[in-house]
Amino acid sequence: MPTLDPKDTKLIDELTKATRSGRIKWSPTAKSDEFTASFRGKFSVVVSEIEPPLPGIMEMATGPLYPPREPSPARFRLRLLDVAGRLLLDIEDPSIGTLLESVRRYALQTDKALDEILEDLRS
Amino acid sequence: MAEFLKENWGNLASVLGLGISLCVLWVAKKARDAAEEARSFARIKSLVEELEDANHKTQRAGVYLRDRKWEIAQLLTDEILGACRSSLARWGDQLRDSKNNLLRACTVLSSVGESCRSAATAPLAEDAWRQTMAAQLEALQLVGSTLGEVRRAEERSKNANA
Repeated sequence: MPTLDPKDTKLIDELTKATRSGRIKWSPTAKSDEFTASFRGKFSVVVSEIEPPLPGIMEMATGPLYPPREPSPARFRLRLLDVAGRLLLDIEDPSIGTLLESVRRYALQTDKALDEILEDLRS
Repeated sequence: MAEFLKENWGNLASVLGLGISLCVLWVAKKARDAAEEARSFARIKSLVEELEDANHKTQRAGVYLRDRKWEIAQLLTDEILGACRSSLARWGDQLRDSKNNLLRACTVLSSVGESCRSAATAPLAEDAWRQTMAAQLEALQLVGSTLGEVRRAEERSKNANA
């Protein structure tokens, strides 16, 4: 896996921080586990979990292979697009997983739900 | 008095000329401001029409998605995407804070279009269909909120012109 440019790492870190503080509005797309946010009306960031490849035709025909294979680690992707939909950046890194988890929490309003439950429990 | 006028007619004429020039300048500035306001109003009106059309088409796309008529839904999605991108390019200044909303709608609509394209060749799983419907609703909400903001700007512009 190619190493990330320091700017890419900085982008992922800042996106994660800003998402956790609720400063970015994310929307789910039509694909499972994919979310998008826009900046300055010019750029879109799309984060997603890469779906594992489907089993090969031989594997499907013969059933699961023994001993069972280790599940492949989850892969995460971040794309940066311009206003015309042109791809400016396409990176894959495990650190995007942390960002995606924060985005999920934002999109599902998990923290809000937890706050309400905690408030109920306290009273 | 007649003596004063006779001796200073040149100065008086200069002062009068200056007054008239200032007056003409003021009128010209007012006319330019009015023309600019009219142009701005016309731009907002065009933007409202374009977004109303996009909003209407997004609603229709939802109906076709529900009925799994992928080709029509894809066609509509592509049209909406074109309209939203054109709005962003032509009226970016008028959109202000809504630019991000509209751009987000573009990315979401693009994913809806991709789903329709793949569904036209291989059947879409139930989960994927639901996700596509949810994305269409998200896009509808984003286009709708942008339209709402532009309509407010139109009303403000109308009141300023009145």
